[in-house]
Amino acid sequence: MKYLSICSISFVNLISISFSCFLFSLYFLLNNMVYFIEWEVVSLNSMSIVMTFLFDWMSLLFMSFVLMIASLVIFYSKEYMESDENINRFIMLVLMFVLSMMLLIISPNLISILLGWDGLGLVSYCLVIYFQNIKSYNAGMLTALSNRIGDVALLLAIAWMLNYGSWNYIFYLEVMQNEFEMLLIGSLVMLAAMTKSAQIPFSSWLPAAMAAPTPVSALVHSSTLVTAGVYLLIRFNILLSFSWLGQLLLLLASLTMFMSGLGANFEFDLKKIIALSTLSQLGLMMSILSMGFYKLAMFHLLTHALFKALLFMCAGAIIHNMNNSQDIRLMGGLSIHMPLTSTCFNVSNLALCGMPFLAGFYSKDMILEVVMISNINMFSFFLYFFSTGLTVSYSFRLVYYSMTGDLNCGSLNMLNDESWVMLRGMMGLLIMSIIGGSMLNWLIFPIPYMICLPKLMKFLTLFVCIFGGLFGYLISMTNLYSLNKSLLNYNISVFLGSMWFMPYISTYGMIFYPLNMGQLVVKSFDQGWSEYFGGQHLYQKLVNYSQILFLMHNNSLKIYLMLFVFWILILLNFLLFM
Amino acid sequence: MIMILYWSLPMILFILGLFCFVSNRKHLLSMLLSLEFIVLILFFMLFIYLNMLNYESYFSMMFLTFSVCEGALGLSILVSMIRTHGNDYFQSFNIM
Repeated sequence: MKYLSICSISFVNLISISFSCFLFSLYFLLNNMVYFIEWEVVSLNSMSIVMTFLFDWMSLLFMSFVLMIASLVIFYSKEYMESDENINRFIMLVLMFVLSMMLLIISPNLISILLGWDGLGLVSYCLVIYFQNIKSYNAGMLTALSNRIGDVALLLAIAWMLNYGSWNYIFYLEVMQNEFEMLLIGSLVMLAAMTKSAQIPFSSWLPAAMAAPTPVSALVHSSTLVTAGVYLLIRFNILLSFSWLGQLLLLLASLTMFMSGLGANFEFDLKKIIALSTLSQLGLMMSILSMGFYKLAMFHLLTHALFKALLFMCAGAIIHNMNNSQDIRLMGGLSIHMPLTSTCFNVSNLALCGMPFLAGFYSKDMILEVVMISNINMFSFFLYFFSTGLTVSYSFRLVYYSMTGDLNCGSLNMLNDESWVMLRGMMGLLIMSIIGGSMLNWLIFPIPYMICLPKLMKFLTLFVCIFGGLFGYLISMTNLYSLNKSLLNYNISVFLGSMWFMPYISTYGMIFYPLNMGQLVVKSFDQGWSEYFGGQHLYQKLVNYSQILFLMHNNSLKIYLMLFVFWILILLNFLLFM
Repeated sequence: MIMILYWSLPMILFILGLFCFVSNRKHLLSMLLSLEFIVLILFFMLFIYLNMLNYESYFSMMFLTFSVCEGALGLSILVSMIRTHGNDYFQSFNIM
């Protein structure tokens, strides 16, 4: 039974499918091939509802990466969720998630993509509420309802797409590019993608979804679910490039990147810091996509998936060893106690920062240089580079808190680095996040980008990163800054540290008046008038009538006699005087 | 006309007696007393009636005898009830 657990079986299956997908994608890439499979479900008048599968190098490569990360995450969960009673349910949920992701990736049809899109929403809700407590339920509800906005937008887009007689949008994007209806469809799809990828008005669900188990965070909330929106917009990129949609998306996405980078510098929850860094990288992908460089967005999506999943897996191993505490203030000195995990953690952190020749370097550096040679305004330029600096800043802050110094945890705690199943799962991704960037760079870009920059601008990225790293490390050293500077500017640090109040706006802000109205209705109707006229009044009436009836049961013969006599007198009265 | 006046006084007295009987309902003794009052009115009416039937007043003796027996019977019930139950409340008849 040791080798036949659901985790091992799923691991072997998923990794073999992933490998074959990778080989197919290489073949398709080399021969520039696209396979297009259609199955007609129903045909009504001139509209045909079809199930469409599109296999090109992009979908196959994305599928292979998702499957590889999923297989390693499932392998990792074998130990992480070892003592969980419902591990089978957990693995099945993850597998269903992977299935919906596959359906999403290969369907370039607005109707058949719903199968994957809604599947992702439903399964991610089930995964967020996997640990059954109030906090998870709240986070799950926030996640599900934020994603529901996107589902509604997709349904509206389907309704508008009826004009064209088919929902295979890839055939209409270029032809109908300047039509108003197509722009409307594009804006609705953009809204859907923004909810899935947690862009600015809908950002609050991503840090909240960290209530899920850590393997889920590694798979769902870093590499697959949140990139579904980016992937959808990569397919829709033609609409974004030359209209106001792209400009709006550029603003919102770069603000998301900036906001989450700032927020991560104030956060103390290990998983939330990583979630905010995911959000910042999603903003980077979205913003470069909105400028029309969809290949770069795809490149960064793939490399980011690798090192971010690794980062989450390291965080899970650390959380296990810290007795399920996620507060980074209680960590410290982990590089001595857990050397191998710390190595993985640092490699993925450096890849995230864009350390040369790790995975993140190739995509991130290229994105920033392409931004520099593009026609872009000052504000977006500032947001791009400031957020890059912030990324390095919070990564080094995290390293300062967790890796250096002394352990600040409770004394009755055993730290070890011998959870080999988890470590093996991490090793696979460690190799990928070292070699993944250069490998993909060779594969995706057969002709290299021509980038021509002056020396100072070329070094700007490096300078921003070094400065951000120093800043993040030094500002965390409280012995240097023994006075807490963020307390002196309390208002602004609360504003920046709580994601610009977005969690409050999208929870209390949305539900305040409906809840108040509900309370009013409950108090005045359910527990008020309807109780008064319903249950209580009926009860009171019954009591009163029964009391009168009980008076009759009192056997007061004389009272009956008296009534009888009076009755006779009245009758007599009638008899005599009528 | 004179006959109505002749009968009306005992009728009114009879109705008052009935009212007195039905309104006294606490003590058995007071009920017996008001019952006694009704018996007296009846005796009065019988007397007037017998005066109309050739002054056959002897018949009223029979009525008086029976009413005395009734009174004695009622009082004996009263006494035995007080001796067994400690009071003479009419309401406690239902426990007998």
